[in-house]
Amino acid sequence: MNTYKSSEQLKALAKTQLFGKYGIVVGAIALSRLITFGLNSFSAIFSNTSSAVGFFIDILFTFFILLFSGLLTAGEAYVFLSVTCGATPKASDVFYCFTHNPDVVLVLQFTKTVAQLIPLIPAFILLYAGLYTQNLVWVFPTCICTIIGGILSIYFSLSLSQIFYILLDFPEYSAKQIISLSKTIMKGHKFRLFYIMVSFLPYYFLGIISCFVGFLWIIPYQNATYTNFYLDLMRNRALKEA
Amino acid sequence: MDNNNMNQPNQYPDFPYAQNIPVKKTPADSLISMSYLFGICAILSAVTMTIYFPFILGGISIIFALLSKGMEKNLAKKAKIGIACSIVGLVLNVCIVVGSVYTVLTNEEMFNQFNTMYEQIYGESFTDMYEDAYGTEFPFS
Repeated sequence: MNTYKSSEQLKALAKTQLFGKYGIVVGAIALSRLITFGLNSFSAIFSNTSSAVGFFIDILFTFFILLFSGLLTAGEAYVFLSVTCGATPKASDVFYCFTHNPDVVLVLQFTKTVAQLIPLIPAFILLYAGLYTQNLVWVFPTCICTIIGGILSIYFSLSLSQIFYILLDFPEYSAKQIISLSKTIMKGHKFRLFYIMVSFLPYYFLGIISCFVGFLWIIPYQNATYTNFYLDLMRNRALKEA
Repeated sequence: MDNNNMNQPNQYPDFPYAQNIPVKKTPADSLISMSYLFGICAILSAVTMTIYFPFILGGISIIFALLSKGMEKNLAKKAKIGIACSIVGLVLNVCIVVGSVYTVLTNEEMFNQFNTMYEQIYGESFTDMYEDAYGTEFPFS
């Protein structure tokens, strides 16, 4: 029997759980995103993409920022797991993973980033070749590679989407076990999660209309829904095993 | 979930005007109130031609109204009014912006005034700046 909650149920649950906790979660999200934004701005100021070496140094620096942001993303997951489980976290809990299993978080984020980037490497190479030669011949293959690479990147990203929740739920697990469990629990549920992600597009439109200020409330709502999705997966897994 | 505590047992069952006792505010109520307030502010800021504020206030008002729904089937009446006010504010603002740009571009006197103001602020008229940037004459001048 299908006992999984629908997208609407998960979203309604997230809205209810966030009542009275927006101050904390908005603070946590603002803190986390400001740090990442600061690092990206720093990278953008010093980036020099006019040469091949500069282009690849820029990609490398972006990769390191992505790696570091994993610690903050895992911290955000901790905040939202606390909220959805009825606890009251603090905004500073986004730094939780700086002191709890930071090595595993970095390995997981590295794996996730590599899995997302590898399918896009051909597109990056073709894009650079097009920019370097200034020839329109490269446009079509770049588009094809970007579309195929994008689809593969989303697929891997969905497979590994639950890694930080699993790490926080099972801190004794190794990175390999966490990745394996994430793939297992996401089997047959990738499209469900993708549908939930796409269902936030109208909210993104509202966020853009509000000059991006609205994202301070949209991101917590989205993250709480993803956390409920994880809890729903685990609850059903436990029911099946029982 | 009953966000308005309507199904809670009455605290004073024997009190003849019990139904008039104000119910305790819930967090959803604060979101609804903020949506209502921001919706009205969106209209007011659109009327005062502040350009950016109606977008910010209207957008946030609609987000708050939608988030206030929780597990209820329908939006609260005040949240619906908040959304309606926001939409009115946003549409009004877009009309004002489009109307202003159209008037400046089609009315020669207004365009000259705009060019003079632009020169006072940036030290170069708008048409000169356009010609420097794109190498062609500004099409509406």
